[in-house]
Amino acid sequence: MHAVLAGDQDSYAVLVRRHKDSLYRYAERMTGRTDEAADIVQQAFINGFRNLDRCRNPEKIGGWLFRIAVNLCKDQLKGRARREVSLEVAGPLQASGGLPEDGAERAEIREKIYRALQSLSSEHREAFLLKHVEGWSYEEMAEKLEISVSALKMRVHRARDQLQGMLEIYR
Amino acid sequence: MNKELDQYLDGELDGADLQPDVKQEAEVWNAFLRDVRESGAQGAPVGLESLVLNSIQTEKRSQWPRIIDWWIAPHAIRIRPLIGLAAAAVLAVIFLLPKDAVVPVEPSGAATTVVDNEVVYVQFKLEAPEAKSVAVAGDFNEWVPGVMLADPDGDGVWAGRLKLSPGVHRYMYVIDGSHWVTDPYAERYTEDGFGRQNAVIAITGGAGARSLAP
Repeated sequence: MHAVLAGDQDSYAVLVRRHKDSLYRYAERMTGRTDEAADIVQQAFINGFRNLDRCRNPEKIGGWLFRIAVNLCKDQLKGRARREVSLEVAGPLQASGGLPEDGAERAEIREKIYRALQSLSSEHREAFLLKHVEGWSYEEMAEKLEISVSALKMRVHRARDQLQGMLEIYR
Repeated sequence: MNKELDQYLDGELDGADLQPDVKQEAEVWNAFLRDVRESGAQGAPVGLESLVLNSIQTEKRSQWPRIIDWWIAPHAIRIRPLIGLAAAAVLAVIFLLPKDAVVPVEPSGAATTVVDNEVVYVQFKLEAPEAKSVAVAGDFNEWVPGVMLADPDGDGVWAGRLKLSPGVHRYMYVIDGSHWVTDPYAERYTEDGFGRQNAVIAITGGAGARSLAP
């Protein structure tokens, strides 16, 4: 870890390898766009590398990088709102993973999930994705986002309340 | 939403403790959440890692003056007395303990050593019933999850053997290409520096080699 902080590229490459997937997964679902997600992840690692000396807790550098990506996602969404580009125009994400047994029906479900996630506020979406896609505990979320556990729980609960309508297709 | 259901989805209540009607609703939620996880990308696109590394290579050149300054400048090292004592005790144990005092034990964890004359093989095993693929990544392969485990009988137990050199190795399992998980049955663990833990296996070389417990 000290090698990473000293700017050793090979050590930083391990860090990139370990965290690129989770950062990308999160950024893609937050922004709903694969191109923006790739840019965000790339920028997060570059910003992280430039600011290694500001990483206060080297043992948790992964969480620190994730927080950089979280903030870049927020900036991206704010910028998008300013440019008044609606999500309807931006279009649904192009899933590079895809649901198993992909077919027309699954594609429709994926489309509905995309719409439902994008209908959440960015704060609610952020909390929901970290909890239910990344599988973080509330304590991990609180530490990395610097938000209280109770506030995060409220966001996740409200997100779930809003997503209740999606469940009809599973009954 | 039902409070009991919220507690279950928050991970505070076990599914077995749910009332039947709530359990039914929980299953609906689980199906939905599984689809949320499986929709969209599971990992970064191919080539992103190279793009990042090329970018920071340029950054690295501009870092040199700062690195040199860091090595030249004096630094105050702050350490808590208790941590200092603990570190000294650990070092003392490592350097002063006679080799005979390290008793080889049969490994009970998921990574066990199989010895075939001079060759040391390590058996990796992970129970992951919902996984579509399981790989092993560690300091022995530059943390690239390229060593794939197999589950030929479909019972959710993934296993594979890997030839390793004697020494101490750190590793993790990678499920479905992107989810890094720690071996729950490793002999010992070490902080991975990224907020999680690496599993650790220590291997002695030569005939009669065995995985050593800490």
